[in-house]
Amino acid sequence: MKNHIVYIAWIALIIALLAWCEAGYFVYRSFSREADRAAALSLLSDTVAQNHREAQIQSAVASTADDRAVLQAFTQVDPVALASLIKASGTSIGDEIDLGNAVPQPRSSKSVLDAFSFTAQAQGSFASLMRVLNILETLPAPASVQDMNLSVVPEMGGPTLWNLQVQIRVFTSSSISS
Amino acid sequence: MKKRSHIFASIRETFSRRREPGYMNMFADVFWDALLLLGIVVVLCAWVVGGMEFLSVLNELNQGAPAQQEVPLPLNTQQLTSILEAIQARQSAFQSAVSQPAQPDPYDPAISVPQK
Repeated sequence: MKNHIVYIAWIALIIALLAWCEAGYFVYRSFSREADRAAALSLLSDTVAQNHREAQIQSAVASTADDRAVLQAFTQVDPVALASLIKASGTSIGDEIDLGNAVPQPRSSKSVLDAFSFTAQAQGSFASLMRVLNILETLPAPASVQDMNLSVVPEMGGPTLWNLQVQIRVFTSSSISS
Repeated sequence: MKKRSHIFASIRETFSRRREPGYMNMFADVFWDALLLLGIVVVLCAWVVGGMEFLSVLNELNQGAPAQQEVPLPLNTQQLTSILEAIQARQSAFQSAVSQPAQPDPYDPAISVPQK
């Protein structure tokens, strides 16, 4: 009878130990599942945010296709075509504009466009040179007047002549290395 | 203080005489009660910790997804629109400068420039 009780006690002890092991394993599994759930939630959140951002970018790209084409056409400056346009513009207002000293400019680290500069020169009355200067300042290209020199041409008699020399810098997305 | 020292003294005496028949039963009862108490404490702690974890998960679910920090898009449509407007204004100014008729020259500053 005594041995019987001892056996039952041992069996109960083993069952109790197994139950505690199972309880510990259950706690371990619970925390492990919780960590997995948090990781999955974080991954899902990141994926949703990334998809949302990609959708925003695609929408912006699709809605600005025409605008970007206009901008690309504006920045794709052909130096020869620009020179022809300046000369034709000068001719249309009755002044001859001479162009020269075209040199490529070093590209800054932040710029994605190449640049070149050239010098425009014209002679005429003060008013006509102001019109030439106005044309050069409003060229339909990403250009800006860097330097301007306006001087009177020494002349004997007749109306006063002025000499205009302007240095212009132009940005372009076209290759100007060649 | 006296009562507590008396309790510890009784426990020490019971443990030292645990092989004696009179004390073995008492020692087994105390040991069993201690085990029960320890089990109850562990179960209560498990309930508390589990309840807190459960409540925190419920709170997270009720709060929904955390708000994402807005990152500016690499393409700024407003800036693009303003640039296009500036381009259009520049082209209009160029067309106007080319097509406007010649003006008289009333303000020629050469009048006051000394001639060489």
